Amino acid sequence: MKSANCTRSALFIGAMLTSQAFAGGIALIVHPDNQLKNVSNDEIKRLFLSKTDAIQGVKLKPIIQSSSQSIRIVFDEDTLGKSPSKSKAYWSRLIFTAAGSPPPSMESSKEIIKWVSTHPDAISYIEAGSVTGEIKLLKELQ
Amino acid sequence: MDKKLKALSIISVGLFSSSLVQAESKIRTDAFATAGGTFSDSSVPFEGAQKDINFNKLSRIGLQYTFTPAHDIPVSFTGQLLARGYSDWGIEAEWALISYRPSTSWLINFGKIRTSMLMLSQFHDVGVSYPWVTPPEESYGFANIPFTSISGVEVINTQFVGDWTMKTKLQTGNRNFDVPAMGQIIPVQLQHINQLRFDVNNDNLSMSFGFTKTSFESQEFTTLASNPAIQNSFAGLAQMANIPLENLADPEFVKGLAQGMGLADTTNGRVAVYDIGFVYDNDLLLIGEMVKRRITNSTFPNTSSGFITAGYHFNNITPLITYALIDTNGSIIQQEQKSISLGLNYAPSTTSILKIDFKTTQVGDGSVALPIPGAAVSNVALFDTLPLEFGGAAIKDKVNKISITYSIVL
Repeated sequence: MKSANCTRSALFIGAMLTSQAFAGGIALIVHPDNQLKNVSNDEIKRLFLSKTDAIQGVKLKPIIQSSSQSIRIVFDEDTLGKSPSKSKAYWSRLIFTAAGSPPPSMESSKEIIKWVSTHPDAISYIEAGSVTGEIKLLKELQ
Repeated sequence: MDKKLKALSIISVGLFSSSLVQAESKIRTDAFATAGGTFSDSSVPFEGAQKDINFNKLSRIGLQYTFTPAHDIPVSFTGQLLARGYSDWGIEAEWALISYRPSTSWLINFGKIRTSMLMLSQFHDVGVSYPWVTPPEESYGFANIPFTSISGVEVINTQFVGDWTMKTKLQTGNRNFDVPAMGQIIPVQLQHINQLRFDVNNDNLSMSFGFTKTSFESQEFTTLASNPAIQNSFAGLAQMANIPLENLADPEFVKGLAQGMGLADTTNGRVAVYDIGFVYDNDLLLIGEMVKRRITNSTFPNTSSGFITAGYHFNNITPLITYALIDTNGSIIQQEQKSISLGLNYAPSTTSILKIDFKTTQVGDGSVALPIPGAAVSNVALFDTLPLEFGGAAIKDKVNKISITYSIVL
């Protein structure tokens, strides 16, 4: 995994130049009315990789951070198991076989909080320190 | 550059400049493009490459639209426009399909859909999704896959076991296409194309098994009998057998003679294709696939093909080596070759990749079309030329080819 780590470091530095650096835990968030409690990492992974559109029978619409955000790189690698290049190849295969598409992305955690707080079926992730009372913390990912 | 391609490019640029993905957007636009060149030490085209560099063989641009009318309705519409250099940049609707997702586990696509024959055929044009300049021609060239899409329906079921995803896909449909042979174009009609594909994968490993069965009709005798070179060969055979040349004016006589040479229209052809493959992609990259095609009641040959690729990701640089082969039997048409390719990929970003490939190919002896008594044996294989007997050029037993491509997705 040495080369993957080098790639991650290089991309992380790149992301730092274009956005605020990320160094902390990731909070998986949903709408306050969402009744989900315990979700596994496999369930999160399948949902955010568009392999399914529900967790435990609850239909969800994931929202991801934009690719310029360092939290996106960390989430993709640690939670989804995809380096940026593998992630692009994965989505290209899905998109260009009409088998699926990546979730919509947003430019900041502020936008995501606003979206999730107003959409009962939304699910997303933000920096753990950014969780507010407008949304529900479903799980801390690290 | 063709006006049609310019138009496609302008549309693409216009859309991408405003294509920030919004959560409420109903239309999604994606695109891919590959620009590249290929040349070889052969004076006649080999897999599209000869001494003069060919910029059209590997270059293409695709634009895909997905329209989702409403988030609470499980229906979407997808269209993909594709312009290929070797088709003179004519824009074709590669896909035009309606997707319906009745439940989380099921997806149904109707319309013009991409064939799922062979492990990689569904994303054959998307350069960033595989490590070669093109997937090995021995398996993915025209000899094995002469078409890329079918008109029909596919049903996909997805299940999960632990961190494994299992996907079963059934396709059924039909497709007409043309096979270029001996300077002529042979029309082929595939009916009842039935395909089953089973994929199982986790983070680093995916395995794929496929089976395709179809019936077909084709007009190789009707088409090729009008070729002057073939008519000359008929005359030569008639002379050798002391048959009056006037008999060649009788279509039934010619048909019988052609059948004796193994050439006849196909009215009840049957094709079965089996493939098994795997991809292991961590830092180490291993890819392999074997394909067997069995054809009955036809002039076209059975084929056995396969390849194995090994590479290693050093950050954004990946060297790789590939061994590939194709062999044929059961037909007067032979296409045999073995190759070794050395590739070097450089990915300057996650959305682009530069690939350089050196391929050396040994073309099998005896790759000829028709068994003319006394004629010299020439190699044909995946060359784009006629056998010597029909006015084609002499072909080397060994060909070296270099290809360079730059691919992007947007």
